[in-house]
Amino acid sequence: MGIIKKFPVYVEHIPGGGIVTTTLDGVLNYARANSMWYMLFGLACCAIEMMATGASRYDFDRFGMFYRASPRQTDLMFVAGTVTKKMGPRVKRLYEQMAEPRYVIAMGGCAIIGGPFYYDSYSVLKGIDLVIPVDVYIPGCPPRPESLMEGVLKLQEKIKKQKLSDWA
Amino acid sequence: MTKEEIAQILNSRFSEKLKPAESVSHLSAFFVEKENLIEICKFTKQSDQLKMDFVNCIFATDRNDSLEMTYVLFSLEKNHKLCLKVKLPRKDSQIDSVTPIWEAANWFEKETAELFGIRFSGHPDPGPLLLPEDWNEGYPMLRDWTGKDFVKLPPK
Repeated sequence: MGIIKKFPVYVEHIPGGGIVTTTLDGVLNYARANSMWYMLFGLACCAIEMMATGASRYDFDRFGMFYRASPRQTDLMFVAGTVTKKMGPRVKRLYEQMAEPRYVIAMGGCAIIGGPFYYDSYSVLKGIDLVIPVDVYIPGCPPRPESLMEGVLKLQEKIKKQKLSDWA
Repeated sequence: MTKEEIAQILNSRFSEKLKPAESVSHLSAFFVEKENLIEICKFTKQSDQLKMDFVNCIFATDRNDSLEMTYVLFSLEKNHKLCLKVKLPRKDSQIDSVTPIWEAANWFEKETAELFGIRFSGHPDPGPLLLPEDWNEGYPMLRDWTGKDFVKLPPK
């Protein structure tokens, strides 16, 4: 029963019994929030920080997060770095290839609004949210691994509040 | 070969076609007319003393009143450099391509053509290189360029 005690509050256990009741929402969200596989995909220096977070020192694995090299197997996309106008449609295409439910984290100033390339630039997209919907924005240039993990925890909170009826 | 020796060799052959340009310490620089560019480039490559067999870089600069093409040539064998510059008008400028002489000039010229609007006649493969495929906003490296969502840095 150890694991059941750690299970979120929306699980009710019947005293003395081996049966638990919960909602379908609760189980699905619990599974989704704790196994966000993210895409092995980086655009600029933020990707280095993302790799550092995925490696053993900061250890994304403890959130159940592993990188996958194919968009078909991923739930989460970090837009890690400067998105150029030429890269924008490619990012959108990768996003469309991901299976639903899919989530996007815009990492760093460049992905949020263009960062240092906001002024006097002909080639940089002014925010990835012009192309694909974004769930969590993480500012920084680049954000430290701690910020990245904070952003992931925020996304987990968001996922746990989802209702199955929203997807219908 | 020092930059003075290079200047001497070029001057003895093309004295009336060269004008000295402002140069940095290790590099002799000359202005040439665009009609003479191919002739001079061929000479610098074929001459036994110069042997410029390597194109370091080719780029344009917007000088507000004109465009300036810069060719930085290098000799791998002799280990010396030379810089040639060509003044061009800002609108509808055209210049002969040096790709038939140095194969490496191909992409330098494509990039310059795309970003500054200079036409390179005789280029074997003209066309877009870096900008998005559906780009129709002109030549972004010109100083007076503005685009759809271009934001100018406000003055301090």
